[in-house]
Amino acid sequence: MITAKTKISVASFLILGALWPASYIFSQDWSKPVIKNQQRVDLRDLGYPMVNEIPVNSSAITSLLTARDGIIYGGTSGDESYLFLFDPAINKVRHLGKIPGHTGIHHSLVEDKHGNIFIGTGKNMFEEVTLSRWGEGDDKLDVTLWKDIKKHFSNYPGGHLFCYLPAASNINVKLPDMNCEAEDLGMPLANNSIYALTINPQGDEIYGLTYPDGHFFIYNIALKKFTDLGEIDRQKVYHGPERQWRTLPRALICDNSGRVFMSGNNGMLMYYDPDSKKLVSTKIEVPGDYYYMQFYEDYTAVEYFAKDPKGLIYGGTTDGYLFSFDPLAMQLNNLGKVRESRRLRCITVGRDGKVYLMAGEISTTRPCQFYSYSPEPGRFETLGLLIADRSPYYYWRGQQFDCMTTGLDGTIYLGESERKSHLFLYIPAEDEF
Amino acid sequence: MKKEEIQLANNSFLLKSLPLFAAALFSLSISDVLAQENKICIVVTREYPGRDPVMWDGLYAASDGKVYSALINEGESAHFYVYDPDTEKNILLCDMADFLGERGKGIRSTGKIHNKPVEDNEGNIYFVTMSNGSGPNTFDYTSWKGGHWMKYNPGKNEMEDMGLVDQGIGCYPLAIDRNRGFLYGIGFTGYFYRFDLKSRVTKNFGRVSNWDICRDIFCDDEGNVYMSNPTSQVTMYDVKKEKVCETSLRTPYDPSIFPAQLRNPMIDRTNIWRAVEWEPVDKVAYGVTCGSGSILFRFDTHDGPEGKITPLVKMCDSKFLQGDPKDIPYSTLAFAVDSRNKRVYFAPSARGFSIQRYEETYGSKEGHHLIMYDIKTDKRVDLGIMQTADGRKIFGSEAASVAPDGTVYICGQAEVKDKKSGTRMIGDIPAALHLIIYKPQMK
Repeated sequence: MITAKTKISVASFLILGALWPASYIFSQDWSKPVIKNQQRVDLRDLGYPMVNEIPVNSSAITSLLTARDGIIYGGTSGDESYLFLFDPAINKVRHLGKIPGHTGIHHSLVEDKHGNIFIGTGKNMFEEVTLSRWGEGDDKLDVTLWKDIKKHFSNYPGGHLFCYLPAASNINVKLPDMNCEAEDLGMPLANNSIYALTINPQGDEIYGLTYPDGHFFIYNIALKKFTDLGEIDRQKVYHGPERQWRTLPRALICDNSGRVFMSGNNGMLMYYDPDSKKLVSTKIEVPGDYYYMQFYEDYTAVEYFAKDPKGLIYGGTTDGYLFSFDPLAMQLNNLGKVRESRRLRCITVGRDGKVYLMAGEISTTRPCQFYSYSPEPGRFETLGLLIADRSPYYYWRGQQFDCMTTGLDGTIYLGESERKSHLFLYIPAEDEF
Repeated sequence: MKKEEIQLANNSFLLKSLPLFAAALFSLSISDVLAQENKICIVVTREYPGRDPVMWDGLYAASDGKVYSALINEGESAHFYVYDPDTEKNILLCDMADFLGERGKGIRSTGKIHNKPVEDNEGNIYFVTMSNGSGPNTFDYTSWKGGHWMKYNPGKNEMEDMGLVDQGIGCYPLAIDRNRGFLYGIGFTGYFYRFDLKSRVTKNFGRVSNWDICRDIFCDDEGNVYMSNPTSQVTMYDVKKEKVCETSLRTPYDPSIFPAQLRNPMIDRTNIWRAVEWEPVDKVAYGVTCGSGSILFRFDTHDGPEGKITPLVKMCDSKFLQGDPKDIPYSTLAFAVDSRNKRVYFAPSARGFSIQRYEETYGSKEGHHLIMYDIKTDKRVDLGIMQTADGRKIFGSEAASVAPDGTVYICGQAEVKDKKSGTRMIGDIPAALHLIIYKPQMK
């Protein structure tokens, strides 16, 4: 005798059976593009494939710069550091040689008034730092961590500032084992990487920050002279999300008057005043995740800066917040956070006035995602994963990015930072959404 | 030269070689086709105590004769079973979601194991868990803790969680370096991991792949690990340098055969290898391409500076060998090497290809053949349509392994007598996953 329950069971079974194949039609889709017009996203290999590409394990792009002539320059981190260019006129990336003895170029490319490119080198920030399980004597954990970081840099002589002359050297083709034709200008601080660079509006004075000691330095191009102004922050905090990095600002920016802004102690903005030649603290707090219960001393730092044509500065923080800062009014606006994941890895201001941002931690399961912010009416838009789909020729999903710049024609360039990396291009569209 | 031009140049080279290769294959196989098309290959089936509807690759016949199966109930839990040839029974060893403390917490669970377990020199069995695609997809994406490196000690009947692979990441393929005590795997976002069995430390060596992730990797006798990435490229982990580098080697690839997806994206699993296995006696690997008509290849990692890949025969269902079909379905993971008797076994998909939608191997009501390649004679043999002695049909299969005595174990769908014991209907036939046993007759 067939009961009602049995009928329901059989019917459910048959319905589920009928639906089963349908659910599998899309079962292999791993990610879906948000950007509607996918031809606006593309990528370039870092050289001629299998011939003179920047080698894998040395190709993480950690610095990008748009030169005044429209050429995009990039610097890599990994086993060795390379300089490269993307020339929109020929639509190709060509590497310009490696910089031996250095494994990182972190947020450290600037162009002077003559169109020369200055490169700040250091250690690869993605390299694993060996952390001790036990400290020496009565050392607390934070003391031990600091000693581990210092030890990691103890065998590294120090990052150098190099000068590359595009007019003389861009023409030369390089094979992967050939060196970059750059002049070594010396080292700002021993056993330290150059962690960030910027240049004044006149293009004759370079400002830099070192890691892990956090010294602010000045390089006078005409005099070929370094000046070390010492630590920007005497407190050592480890706010994360990376457990092996000391929290220091990861970017510097010069406003139109020549003041150099960065974040500092307690997450407050600070700046270098070229008139007084001093570092000045402010009470302007960089937005972050602060825990107001008790017993916390750690604070966020600025990850990346960008400036719009009117001089308004945008910043992204290690906690993932976007802010704008008016240096004339000394007013900071917290514009908010686009996702739960921390870190605004890189930002740039597009020719359309929007701020483009790449948000997300170094995570294998929650990759970076791309967003834009429109100052008017003050709205974020999600652009999702950057997927270059030229299948069946090539197809690649960008998951990690650490630098960004806007080309003269408004193309957004993004530096992928993986074992095998690419230069991504995004062409914004006003009416896409 | 642009990337697409290089690809086309590669394709052009392959296309030029194809007529000769195809002619050779055709002449070798046409007689086989005619003779074997209706032959029956008698197999024995053993049921599983659970009701997992699917599985991929998770089958391993261990050195002690036991057979381990990893079956999947997506959105619920993966289950790990052991088959004892003496008792002729599968026993549930572990409900993974329960073992890993995921039940009753409202979080995504370990609904998948997608690798062939591996064995160390002491007989311990290792595998990796994952959740990718098995959700439940209505649950918070960030709630799944991640895949675990798992160890099963058969002597003590003890399952051990050796730790997370990475936050929210499990592995598709798995390989072991028995001499150095390393496990290797690739996560679903394309990162290559090494797990040190002694120190229990996982290291990420960087991204090696885009989706679709290579489902099988192998470790050669020197400890180097090889993997396949789009398009047709072979990547190597160099154990001495502890670095991953792309090689110039390419797996055989016939672009004239449809890829699995003609919608988007068009670069999919069909241009990587589907399954591969290290053959420790001759010290070469055998693998099968995912698309291209399931081309069996030999990969000698010691021949030349990077190794050499030699295409052998097509291992697709015999009916696809006739004429010039472009719609050969992509390969299954039911692939195994018998190193003692020098044979390669493959249970291909019999499903007709659909250009309108993506389709898996399971659920096709066609007769499914077992194909064997005899390494000694360089001959492909169609062993016939798999069927039990009492006439029950065998459908799609997605895992295989050869025991030390030469018994071939396959995991696939088999007809069951009544609907209650089935996990799905294939046409009007109830079916469920079974351990399928084929005892080859050696001359």
